[in-house]
Amino acid sequence: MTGSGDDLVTIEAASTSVFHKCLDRVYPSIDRGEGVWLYTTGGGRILDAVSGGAMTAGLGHGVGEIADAAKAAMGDIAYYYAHHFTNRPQERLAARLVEIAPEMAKVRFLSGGSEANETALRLARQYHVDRGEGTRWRVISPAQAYHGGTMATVSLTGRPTFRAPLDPYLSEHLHIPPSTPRFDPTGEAALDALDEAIEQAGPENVSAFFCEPVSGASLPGYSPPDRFWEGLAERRDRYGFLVCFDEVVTGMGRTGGWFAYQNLPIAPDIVTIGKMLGGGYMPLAATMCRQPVYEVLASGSKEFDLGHTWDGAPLSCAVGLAVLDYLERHNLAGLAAERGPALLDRLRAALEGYAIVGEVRGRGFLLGVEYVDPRDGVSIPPDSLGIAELIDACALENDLLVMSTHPNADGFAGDQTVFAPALTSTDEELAEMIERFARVVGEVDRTVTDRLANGGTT
Amino acid sequence: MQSKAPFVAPGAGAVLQLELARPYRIIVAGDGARVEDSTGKRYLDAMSGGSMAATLGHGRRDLIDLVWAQSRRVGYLDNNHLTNPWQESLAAKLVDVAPPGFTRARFVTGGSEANEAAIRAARMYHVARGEPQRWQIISPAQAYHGPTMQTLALTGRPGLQGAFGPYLSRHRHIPPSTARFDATGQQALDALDEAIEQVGPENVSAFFCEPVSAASLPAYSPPARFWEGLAERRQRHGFLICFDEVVTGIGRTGNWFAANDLPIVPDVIATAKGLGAGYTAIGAVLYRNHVYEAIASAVRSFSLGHTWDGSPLPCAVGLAVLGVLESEGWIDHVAARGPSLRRELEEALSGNDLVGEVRGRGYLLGIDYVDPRDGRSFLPPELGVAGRIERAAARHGLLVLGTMPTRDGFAGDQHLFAPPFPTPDGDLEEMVSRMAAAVEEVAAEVRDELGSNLSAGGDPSAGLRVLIVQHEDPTPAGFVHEWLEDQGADVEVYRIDLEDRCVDPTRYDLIVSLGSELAAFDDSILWIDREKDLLVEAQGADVPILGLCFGGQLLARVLGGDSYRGELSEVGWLPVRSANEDLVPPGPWFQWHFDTFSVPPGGELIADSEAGPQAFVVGRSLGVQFHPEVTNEIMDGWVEAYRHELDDEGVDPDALLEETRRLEPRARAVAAQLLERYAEDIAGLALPRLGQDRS
Repeated sequence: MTGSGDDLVTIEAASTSVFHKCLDRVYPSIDRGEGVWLYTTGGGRILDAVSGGAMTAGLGHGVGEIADAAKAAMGDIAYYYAHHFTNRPQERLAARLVEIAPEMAKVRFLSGGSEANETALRLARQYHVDRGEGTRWRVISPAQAYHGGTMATVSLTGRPTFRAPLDPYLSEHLHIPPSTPRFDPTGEAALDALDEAIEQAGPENVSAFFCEPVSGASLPGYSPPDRFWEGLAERRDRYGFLVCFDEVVTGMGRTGGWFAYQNLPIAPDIVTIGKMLGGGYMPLAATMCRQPVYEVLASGSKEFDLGHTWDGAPLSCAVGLAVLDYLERHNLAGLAAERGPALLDRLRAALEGYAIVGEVRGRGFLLGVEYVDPRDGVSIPPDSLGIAELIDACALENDLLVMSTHPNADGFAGDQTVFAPALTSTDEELAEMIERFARVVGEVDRTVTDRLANGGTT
Repeated sequence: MQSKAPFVAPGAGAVLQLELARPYRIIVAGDGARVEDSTGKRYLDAMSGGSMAATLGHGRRDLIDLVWAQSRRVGYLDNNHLTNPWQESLAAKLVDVAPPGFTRARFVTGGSEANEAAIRAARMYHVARGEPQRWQIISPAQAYHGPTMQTLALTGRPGLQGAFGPYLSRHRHIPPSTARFDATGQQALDALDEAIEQVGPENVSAFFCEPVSAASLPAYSPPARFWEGLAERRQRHGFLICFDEVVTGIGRTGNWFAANDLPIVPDVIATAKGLGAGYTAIGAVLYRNHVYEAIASAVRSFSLGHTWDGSPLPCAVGLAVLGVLESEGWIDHVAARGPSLRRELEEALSGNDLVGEVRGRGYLLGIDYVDPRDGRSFLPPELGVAGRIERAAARHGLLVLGTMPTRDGFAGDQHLFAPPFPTPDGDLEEMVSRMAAAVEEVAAEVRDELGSNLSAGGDPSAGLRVLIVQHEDPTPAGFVHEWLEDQGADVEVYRIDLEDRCVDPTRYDLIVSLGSELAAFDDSILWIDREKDLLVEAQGADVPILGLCFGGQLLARVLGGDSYRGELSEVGWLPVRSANEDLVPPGPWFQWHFDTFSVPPGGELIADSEAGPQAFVVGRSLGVQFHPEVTNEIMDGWVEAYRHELDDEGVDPDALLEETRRLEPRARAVAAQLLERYAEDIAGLALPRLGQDRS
């Protein structure tokens, strides 16, 4: 049943039937995975420091126990849509989730983070409409954020590079700058910007504040200072909007503890989770809400319909149960909290002395490296240097998978790398990842320094 | 946890369901076109998994095992830096079976994502070609393309857009060219011209539609003239045509894509459901070469995507699905069998004046209902006909999906009928006959309602509607019947042992299930599944149930309790120990039972005796072990019919009759108290006669 790609060692993007994301790339083709190792069709072996590429395969690849447990949990039907019936795996997984997220009461299952964030937007809006506040629709969110690939989630970002071609389709939401040390170490500037945005929208028109409690790809491992969260909670009380947390990356143990919000001085009204919920074994996401939000809908419109084909299907929820069992049995969320600080220290130490490295930060197993212009050690690097691309390409040459972003042109942050290994990685494997990564950063550091010295960029 | 529960009650459980005020039955098993819920009730699935996704039927071990095998090998990989053989092979295969000229595929996780990606592709095509002002989309007004904001913006139905207007792009819509509005397709073309004119031809990005409609106008496709006219306008004005083949793609209409059978080739195709066939979530966007080339000439890397795009697990399953379709020949089968299936459905429904049209292609069939008074108009929406037929069908053990009338007036009550491809002929025949029975049942009610010109809720001044379920000749409702009529109730007796029909419990204010010589745990009783189903549906819909003896035991059983042979039998006038003497006075009550039961989860024990529980309350329902309905006449009948049981128990029949005559006046008073307190305090029924007495 497998054909054309099977015997090829690498795939040239331009010459296949897949509309690839990078048309000039030559892609390694992966045949199988085992823990943090990916084996290519050409017999190579890549060390995976970012859980499959998007912080998803947090249990490592190819764990056979997941299939065994999911098979048992699924029962005798893989799929039925959520209109005619509910099913046991869905009911069980929802019950388990509100146990580990006791602040939440109800769970809607979906297949991915974009769907979950879209659902959160709809839920917040329906809540206000059911309360008789039909004016509330606008959303305020940090400008650098990334919440998904659908138009309504792209609307939540303030980054021109994402928005530009799609602009006619995007809602006019409001954005505040990130309160990173670069711009706003105390969080006060972000709160002032929030006040200004609320004022501009009119407090009676604001539906939600939408953000990641700890950033994923956009500012890896970053979370604003406590003062910001406290100020946000005060404003929610004062103005009556909801707070939605996008925990698609952070939920289910990534930052140590089940959910990132549980370590912050604020409880959100709506939380979305994704990636680690299916653990790389099944597309699965969820939107969770607190009881008061549910009650408004239950006594108001009495429905929250409009689903997607796979919402809450037995197969996907059974895998979610198996993943949750595995996380619990191995205490992976707890261990990520315990092991995270040492991992961060080791990564920092390994990258010490490289001129392009600005900050190394993170929580749990969600770490980020932010690069700077080596000429002053502070500025966002010139876009044309393409540090992110250099890092990722050089990493693959060193048989290491990491994921870098370069939002330089947007002005909120420079090139960055996400370093987010599987929670099951052994100390030896982590050491190997760090060693390879330091080698990569070293190589790119030399390349960049040379280029700048030769006037290779303007 | 809920192993024996028949349903999840509204508000119970932690799942945010689609509808917050209705109970959800629990599906537990599936095999081919047959599925089963947690009460053991079996259904034929004429909806392919409820959403038309399960095209290959349920329980395919080969595909399920492949899911597990692939998850052991490698399930997930991000597609920014890596590819995998399954993604590559599936893309190659898809462009191979797509209409001519398609050369590239990109994978997503579902239909909404696929449609969003199609909109993005059209937009990027125009931007790349130096026409960045093109963004607007024109689409048929009745369409449904998904629940994300941007796909909702493609529909013109206010009912679907609901509260989300502020987030929706202002796209343009044209009316559907159905036989009802526009048999030739010319009006739709005129509307298209007008929309293009209004927007400005230079601003139109795409025309977006389903080649054959699914949920919005089941199985409808415009006439060829419309497609030809659409192609002419594309040529003239330079917009793209995007086909939403989320439902129709991969075999549903008897070809790989519905587009393959139309006189037009689209530029972009979005597909999803059938690609995963109910064994994986997956979607795909297919690009014609000129679209791909235009985009690629301007942009070489793309940042937007979703976690699972192109991952090994969904692609491997998708590849296997295509393999099964090909090696087992299902698409040819659907093409060959579809027309006769449609004829069979048409014949079974012919003569039913509620049915306007049966239409469809392949295994995507649709039934369009009309007002029987003129045979043309849409039915009054407040009658909720499609929903009622859907529920009636479920009672008959058939799963179909009703689509509600649209407020825009473009579509009325309709049904989808879309079985899995491998459904055996026997099951197809049974589906058709169950559908006909369900439609006829509701049609009879609707004729009545339209004839007597009642509004949907019935005459509010009418009394309580009570359904008494009687199981055998000697055991009628006796005093309970008399009492209900005294209260002004409108009482209907349903002889479930004689009448082979299904009843909609939501049409009643109270259901009374009587006694029986049979055992409530005996699943060989011919009518027991029908009654279990009736009680489950009533309880789920919060219609109060009063169960007497057998009826009480069966109520306990369907709600997750047990019913079984008791250690002690009770025959005679005996007292009970009551925790609530106002509701259940201590008696003596007449007892005649050998079986007992356990109080179901969530129930409250109200009374008991040495032999076991005597009364329990769950929600608005009450089950009792004894016989408050007994009268002298009933006792005469029982003594005659069941004398052998009395002999076995050593009860003297004459003494029993004499005792009954002596106790009856008092028994009536006690039973009246029980009924009054139950009706008012537990069932929350407003009894008109009682109300008058009070005033």
